[in-house]
Amino acid sequence: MATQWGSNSIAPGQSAGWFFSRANRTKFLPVLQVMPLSPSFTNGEWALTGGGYPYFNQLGVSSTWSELSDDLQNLVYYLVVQNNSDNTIEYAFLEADLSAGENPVAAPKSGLGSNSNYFLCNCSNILDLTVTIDVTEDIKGSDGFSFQVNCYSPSGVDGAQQYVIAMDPQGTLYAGVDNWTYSAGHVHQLINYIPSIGSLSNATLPAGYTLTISLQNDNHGNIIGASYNVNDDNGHSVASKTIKLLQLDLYHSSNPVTSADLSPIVAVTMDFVDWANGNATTLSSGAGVFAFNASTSMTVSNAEPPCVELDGGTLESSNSIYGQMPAGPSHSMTQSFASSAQVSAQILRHARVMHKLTPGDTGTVT
Amino acid sequence: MKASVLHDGEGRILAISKAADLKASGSKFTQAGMVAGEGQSLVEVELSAEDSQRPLRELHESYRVDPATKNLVRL
Repeated sequence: MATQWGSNSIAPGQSAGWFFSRANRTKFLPVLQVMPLSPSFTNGEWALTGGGYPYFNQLGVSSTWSELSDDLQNLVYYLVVQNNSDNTIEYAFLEADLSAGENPVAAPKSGLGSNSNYFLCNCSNILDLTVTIDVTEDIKGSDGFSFQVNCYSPSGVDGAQQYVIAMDPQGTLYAGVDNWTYSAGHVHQLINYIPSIGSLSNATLPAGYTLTISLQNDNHGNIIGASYNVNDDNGHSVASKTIKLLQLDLYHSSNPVTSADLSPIVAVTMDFVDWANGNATTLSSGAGVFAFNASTSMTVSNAEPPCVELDGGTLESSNSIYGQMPAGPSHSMTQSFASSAQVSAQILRHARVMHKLTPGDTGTVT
Repeated sequence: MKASVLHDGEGRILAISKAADLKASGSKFTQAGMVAGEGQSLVEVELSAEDSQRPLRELHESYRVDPATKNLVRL
């Protein structure tokens, strides 16, 4: 049902720009129209503007433009009210919602940013997960940055699996596997393999670049490898790497990873943080969209789901912020991300076990 | 009552908007308002009790804006 509000007027032949702001919500389409409250005393005729755009000599509105606020919290819509009649017209606005989506899930307790993001889970194996990172604004951090697909395994098996694309402060790109096993209340490094895969000038990831991290499963749902790709704004490959876990050695060992060391994942959280070493980076710019796709459905949760073995998180942090997401379930989801000058104190989630990415130790491949 | 008045460089009133309580009106928007375009300026004025009751189109014919003081001036 439409809502009518406002008491406004506009002189003949004049245009008035308007803004309308509301909380950011996905899959929502606002419908805005003007409702004349006084006659125009003008016969309705139509014509074309010099640019070929048709108009009536009555009260009307332009197309709607929209803007996502810098902090991702609000959507601002713009339109222009135009009075092409011969007289001043009074008018109100008519507003309605067309929504194909759901209300967003409330933010996690620590907030939506840095090392605190939603969990995507279904408490059964997540299969064929691909995370695509579309960069819409140049990304630059005081201590580099990383995109971490932080995965959680179910109870009774290995705890945490990290799949990462990172850029250090010199512009070197890395692909990373950083996996941990959990026993007796402690985590132990299982795999740590973080090879460099290329470099970019100015230590900046330009707008238009696309990064993908694709996880591969065996018939039991175990993660057996990951493919990492960095493409430039023309779609050309800048860096590419496929890592097969069974071709790696265990951490600080000459023993190879075996199928006994593999685990499925049942939850994922995506973090845009410092490149490594548990540090905090200050992002001077950066924005884009995460796209999550899997062959199994995922549900968005604002807390670590009970089906994971490890209450864990990443130590790296930043002044990144993330947009809200609907609950799902869905095989495909998107989420906006950005750097935020407004986040004066970095958002930090504290878990029972916090692990850090240590790229100085690149591990070995058998 | 507060009102936003859009005017040109010579003080001619182009548009007026009385302040609206969006929440009470049932709107989903948290903020709304006019945005000045090229050659336009926006001022906020306090309407007298009498002017608050008059049709807005009459205010167009009764006032202009003094661009220097940003006040309504009777024509």
